[in-house]
Amino acid sequence: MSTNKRDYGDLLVLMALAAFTLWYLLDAIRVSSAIQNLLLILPLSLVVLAIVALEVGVRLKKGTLLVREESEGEPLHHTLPVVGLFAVYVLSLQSLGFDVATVLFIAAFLVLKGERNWPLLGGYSLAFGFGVALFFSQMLPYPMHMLILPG
Amino acid sequence: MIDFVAVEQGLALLFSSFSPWMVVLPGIVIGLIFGATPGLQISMAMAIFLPMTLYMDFVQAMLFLTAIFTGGSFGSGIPAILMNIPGTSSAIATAFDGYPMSRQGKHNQALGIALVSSVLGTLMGYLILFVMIQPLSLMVLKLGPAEMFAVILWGMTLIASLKGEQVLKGLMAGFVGLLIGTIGFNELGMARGTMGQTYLLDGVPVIPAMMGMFAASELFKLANKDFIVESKASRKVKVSGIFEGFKLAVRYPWVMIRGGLIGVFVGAVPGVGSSVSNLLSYVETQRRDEDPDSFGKGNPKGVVASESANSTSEAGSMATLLALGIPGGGATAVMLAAFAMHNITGGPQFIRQQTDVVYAIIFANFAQVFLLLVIGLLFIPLLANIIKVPMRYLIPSVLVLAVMGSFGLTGNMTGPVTVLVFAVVGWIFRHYGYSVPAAVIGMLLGAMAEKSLLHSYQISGGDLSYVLERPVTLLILALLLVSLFGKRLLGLVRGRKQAASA
Repeated sequence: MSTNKRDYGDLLVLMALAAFTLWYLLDAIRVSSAIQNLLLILPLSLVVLAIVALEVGVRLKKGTLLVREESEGEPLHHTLPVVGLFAVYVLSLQSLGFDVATVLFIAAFLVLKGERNWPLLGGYSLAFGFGVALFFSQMLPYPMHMLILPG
Repeated sequence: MIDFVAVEQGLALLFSSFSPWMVVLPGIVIGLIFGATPGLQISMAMAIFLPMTLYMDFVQAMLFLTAIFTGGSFGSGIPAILMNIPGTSSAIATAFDGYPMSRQGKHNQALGIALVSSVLGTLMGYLILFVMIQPLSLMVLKLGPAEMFAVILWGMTLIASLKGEQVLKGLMAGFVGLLIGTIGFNELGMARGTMGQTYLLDGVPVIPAMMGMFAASELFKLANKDFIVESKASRKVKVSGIFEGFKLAVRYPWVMIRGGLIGVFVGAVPGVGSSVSNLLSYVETQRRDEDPDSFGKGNPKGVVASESANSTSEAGSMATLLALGIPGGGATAVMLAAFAMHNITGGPQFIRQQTDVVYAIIFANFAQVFLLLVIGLLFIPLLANIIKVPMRYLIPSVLVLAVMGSFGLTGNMTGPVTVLVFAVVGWIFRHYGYSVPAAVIGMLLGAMAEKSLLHSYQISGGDLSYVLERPVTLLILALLLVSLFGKRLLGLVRGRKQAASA
């Protein structure tokens, strides 16, 4: 039985789903134990917890508790920087504005993925970033925070 | 069933002047653009252009809005096929096989299939509506919350069990999705699962969550690829390939007819509509196929099933709107606003008194589908060029569109943050083999499922025998059981027969 680090992840996800379900059920009960509040949540949560228990039981029986059966996965060290960059982009929208944050995100992504044609990199980041930000700010009925362009 | 005097009057309404037709072309183009742009919604397009209908007469306004609807229904399939980003929830199942087809370099065929299935689906839907508008309106009156809950349950169970070998994980993802869909205020006005965050009081914004789980998480996965389609030869945009797709689509008439029927009837259920019909049609097609394992890997039948169902749903939701004045979803809700702007109330009386107008709308849609075919053919080669863009340019651009679009849906940072959170969740789900579509559909239907179950409980007073008095509910539940166990039972019976004869 393989017990490398990646295999623990599958079990962790399973436990996280069970934990979320349990937490949500308890929170719903805390808010109100009226039938109107729990009519769907209570039976559904119990079904989810039962499925988790069944899945764990099946895996224990097969001896595959820590073995991931299927992988569509890709090397984590290739994906994590992209996820991180996207997170920084979203979280910086409020401070940098949609225009500047978008230009910087596109430029940083291109650099990360090996683009070294600097005029193309700069031109595309500026044109697409400012273009899209301007398009949405004109189309949407709410104000969009911008640093340079009109919001 | 058909009032021929009203048919004549309806035709006169349409063809006495050219003015009603002047809005159809721009309507289809607007729908295509909004449908094909990730983050922009058909209902958003209709809402933005709704004020323009103030200057139109009622028939012209309806033609304009249904043209946006028709164009958008097909348009939302384009990013689903090319980028695995369903433009709307009605194109989720289109991505299941359309996107794998693109990755195999069969994007031209997939787009051709989607276009023909949409065109024929819309045509079929409005034909059914033309013949059955009056009986359909009576049928819709008989649908209550119990039937809605049964339809949701059917859709949920089927989609969760899509991945045959990972049923438990599929069910888990679907049911957790349903739970997430109930976060926020309940019917008593009390908030659950919000962790004290005010932006969750109205629930998790589903469309941004869908964008995160489907699009962003898939893009993370593709971050190390150079192109969507690796082979340079396969990246060519060929009109001949699109026509090949046309031929492929018409090769499966039963898939299309089944999708069309599911689309009309499920589309007529208020609030459920095309979000569920495309999935039901897909799952039914996969279940009945001789080679179910080929689905999800680029089987053209999957695209036909989804696109025919989501385009016929338009006619189904129009039936509910016209016959009962109840909008089936966001797009028909905007149409209801157009009704109000023209002092018209939908309902049985409207159908009886203004049958000519109803027929005029139906006939106009017959013409619209042919226009869609022509405009779609012009647009596809332009849009299909997306696959020639290197992934290092495509990925950040699409992520930006998703973030901006999600901001457009919520009007604040809730949208972009939801995209981010669910992108990570979707990526983890994909990595460990949990069904992303099941989770998304669960989120989409959670609040609706709770509401319909609660209303059934209130009507029945908690008495379970109420279900026995609802033949349609029983029929849907029976269909659910047949869908789940029919094949297995049939196999058992056949096995016994063979054993007996041997």
